[in-house]
Amino acid sequence: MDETTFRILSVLTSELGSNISINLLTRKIKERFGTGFYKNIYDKTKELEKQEILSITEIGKSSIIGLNYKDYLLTDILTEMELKRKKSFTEKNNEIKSLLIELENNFNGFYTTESILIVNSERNMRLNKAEFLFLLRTPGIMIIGEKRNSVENKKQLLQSEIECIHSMIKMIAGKLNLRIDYLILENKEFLELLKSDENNSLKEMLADKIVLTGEQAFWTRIRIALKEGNRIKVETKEINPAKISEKNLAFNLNRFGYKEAGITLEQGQKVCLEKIVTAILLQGNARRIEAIPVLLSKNKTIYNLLIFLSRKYGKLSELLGLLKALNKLTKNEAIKRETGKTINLLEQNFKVKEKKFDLKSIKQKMVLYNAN
Amino acid sequence: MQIENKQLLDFLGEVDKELPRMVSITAVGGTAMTLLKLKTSTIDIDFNLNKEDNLIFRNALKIIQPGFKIDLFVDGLIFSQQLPDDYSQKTILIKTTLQKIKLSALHPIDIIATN
Repeated sequence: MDETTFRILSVLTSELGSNISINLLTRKIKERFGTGFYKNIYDKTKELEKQEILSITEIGKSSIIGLNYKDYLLTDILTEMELKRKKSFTEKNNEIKSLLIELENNFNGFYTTESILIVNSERNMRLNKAEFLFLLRTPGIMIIGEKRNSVENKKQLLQSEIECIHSMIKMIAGKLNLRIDYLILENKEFLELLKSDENNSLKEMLADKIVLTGEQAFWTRIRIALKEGNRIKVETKEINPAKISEKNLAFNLNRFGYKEAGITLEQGQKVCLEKIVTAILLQGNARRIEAIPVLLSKNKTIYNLLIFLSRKYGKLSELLGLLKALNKLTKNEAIKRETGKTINLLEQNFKVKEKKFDLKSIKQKMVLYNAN
Repeated sequence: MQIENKQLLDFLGEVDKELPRMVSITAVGGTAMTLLKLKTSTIDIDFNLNKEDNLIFRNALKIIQPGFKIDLFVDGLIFSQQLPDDYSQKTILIKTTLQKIKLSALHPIDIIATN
């Protein structure tokens, strides 16, 4: 793959969903790679359009460049780009090679792990940490014991691999003396977060990521999601839960069903529930912390994302305490099941000691907000 | 893990981005020796700050969540050892491109080395 094509695809894949003109593309290539010449990029985009890799749409006086998701071979070309990106990244960073070798050695035989991505690699290396995204596939045809293809068997396999991922990462982090944060997402969760109109960690991760394993599978997933008409927009600016403004917090709490008296609501940015919960835990406001079971009861929660964020920001003890409270107080069987599963995961894999909360106070809140 | 001079400065570069105002930090122990190039690396990061700067620095660490072991000391009390009253006058300024961090290192005469 020639360098200009690589640079064009690198920028376009980091800005999925954004309208990018050739001018803007040239500017972004210059920012990222140091050099970028309009004529070269213009000529190359025209060439790639002829090859049906890119699509160019005229909007007013601008030509908006996008990836042509209808082209079946786009997945292979993006795979080639990812491999070149990985090579370039590992050549610049000797420390990362030890980490990648550990990943390869330990995750080789994992059945449900479809792709592993490393996120914000350069910035994280400066902070002696690494951040990964594990994308899991739903097991297909299975023959285990007498119950072929049973849903329970598939769930069991998925669950046991998730537990193995937790143990492996803990071992690798200890061996390399490195902090490792990691998000594990099942197929359905990945799609849900990808399509969501809320800011969330997945959409932020996709802006600066390198696919380490399962490159083809990853881009196939994205291509199919886009071909099916899903609107995907990568978040190029991170919203750190420790920095969410009071205005945004109040706006999101309100839309998640937790209205607070005496607060003037203004339009804010939609942020996913899991990040709002983490923001509340970081803020330390006791009244709002006790409202977290209300939020989790009234809204669909991706517990894998909640674990990732709570662990990343050092709030696992509080999360465990709140989940135990919710598990005890809720009458909803599905919530009991999900929280029970998450509680087991936290206790067995992270050896977290729960922070105790006032059950009476939480129950009162749940009754008040009709959340039990 | 061994943290070298460049890594220390890269780390502070990330902290720098999250600070709302100027803070003064003084490297102590192995961190000071690494910044003064008396040692090639240190195994953890130790800084001394005043009370107000300490809070601001800790908030920045909360945002970036680094993977280093970092100890922050306040007003010259390093573990149970109080630095002499004039320690801040003897500190050595470290030239950096940081915008919001005034970085100094303890004068070698004040550095306490332990094993």
